[in-house]
Amino acid sequence: MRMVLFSHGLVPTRFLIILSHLSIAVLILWSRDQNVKSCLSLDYTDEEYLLQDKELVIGLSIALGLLGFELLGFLSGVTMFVPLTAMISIACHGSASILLTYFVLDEWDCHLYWWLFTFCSVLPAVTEAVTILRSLFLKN
Amino acid sequence: MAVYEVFSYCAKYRHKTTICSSASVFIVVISLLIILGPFLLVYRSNGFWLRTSAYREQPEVHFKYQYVLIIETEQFNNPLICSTFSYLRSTDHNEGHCAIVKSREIDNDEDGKYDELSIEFSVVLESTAIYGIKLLLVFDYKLHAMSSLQMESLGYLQHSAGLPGARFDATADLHLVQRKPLNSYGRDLKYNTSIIANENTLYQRFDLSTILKEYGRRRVSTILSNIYSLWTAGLSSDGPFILTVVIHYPEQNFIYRPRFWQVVKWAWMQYISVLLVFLYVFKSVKTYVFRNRLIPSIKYVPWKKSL
Repeated sequence: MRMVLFSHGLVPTRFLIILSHLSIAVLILWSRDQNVKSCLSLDYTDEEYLLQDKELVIGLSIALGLLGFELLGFLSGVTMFVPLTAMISIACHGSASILLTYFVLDEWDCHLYWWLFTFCSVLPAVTEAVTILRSLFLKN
Repeated sequence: MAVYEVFSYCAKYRHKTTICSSASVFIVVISLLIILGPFLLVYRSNGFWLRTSAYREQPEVHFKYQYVLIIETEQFNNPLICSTFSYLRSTDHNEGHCAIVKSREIDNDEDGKYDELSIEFSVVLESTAIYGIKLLLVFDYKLHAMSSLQMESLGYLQHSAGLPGARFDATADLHLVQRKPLNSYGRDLKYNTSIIANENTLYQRFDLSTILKEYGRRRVSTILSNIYSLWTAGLSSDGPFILTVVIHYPEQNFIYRPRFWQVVKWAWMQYISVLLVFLYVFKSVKTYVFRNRLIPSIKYVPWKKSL
């Protein structure tokens, strides 16, 4: 009964928000040049540029990986109908989409990306993993 | 008989929970978002705290009837100096007579503040050609609307030409130049001291470059701007050298530092306009969450005595 009640709103919202976060992360991965330049000083060397670039690429790739993991857990149905996970996921990925849009448009410092990564990519993935583990143990 | 809705009011569902529960955590997080979110948005979009503001006023200016007029002739190391400061007048200048001055201040719109100064000098120099002039006029400058500013200020005009002159006409505006914003209250009498010393003391000789440098260091000063000048060439043997200057005292924008309540008023307006949107959005979120029982809590229905 509870599943039917909120499948009207919560499940599609969560799905769309995860997809929006995914698309903005892919977009930043593709055009990260300006953001890398904005966290270097005005006269930077090529090595510094490559270092910052590599950092940002690693961060974005891990975020994409965690997103993929969460999408897997969601679409397989394990965490589709757990409301707490759904709400945390919607809040985190929603704020991630908005803040990453600002990240691209306002050319934020690339150090700020790690804050976004912690609160908006790691947190929902951790709650997802915890929910999956709980459902596995409870089944047993 | 047709009926219509004449009045309606809400019945309340109450959701109760203990202090340590996920519903409390949820409410605390949402409340923090509601309070801090608008502040973040408004602060990051610039202009939250009003640091400077501007207002318009026509200053109250009086010409103090003190001037220094330096006429440069072909004897360039011996210019003719005419001045109301007696120690500056060139007494050893055999050639020329100091100026006959006609001056008047006019209030065109009859609002009690002078709008222009019209001053005319007439110099007789028979056998030397005049190649340039430097004119220093001393004004008493007052502002009333925000802080009470009173200061002595200069209008400096200079012109030099390749051809000897018979006449020089100029018209200019007296503008305030401020390096820092003015205060919005109180009295500002810092520059109400004489710029050119009234008498010749041993350590205070008249040195135009020092006076101008000290004057240029001021936080608030006046300058002659919007200058239209006309140098008419001719020989001084044909008649006296006429110098006419018209100085307008126009209304001007002044930048000042606003006080606490003005700053808070603007900040609050910006904050509350975004806060209303956040309140509405998060009320919808909270209603959705508690109505659909996404977080466990005890629901009290108004028409039932028990749960």
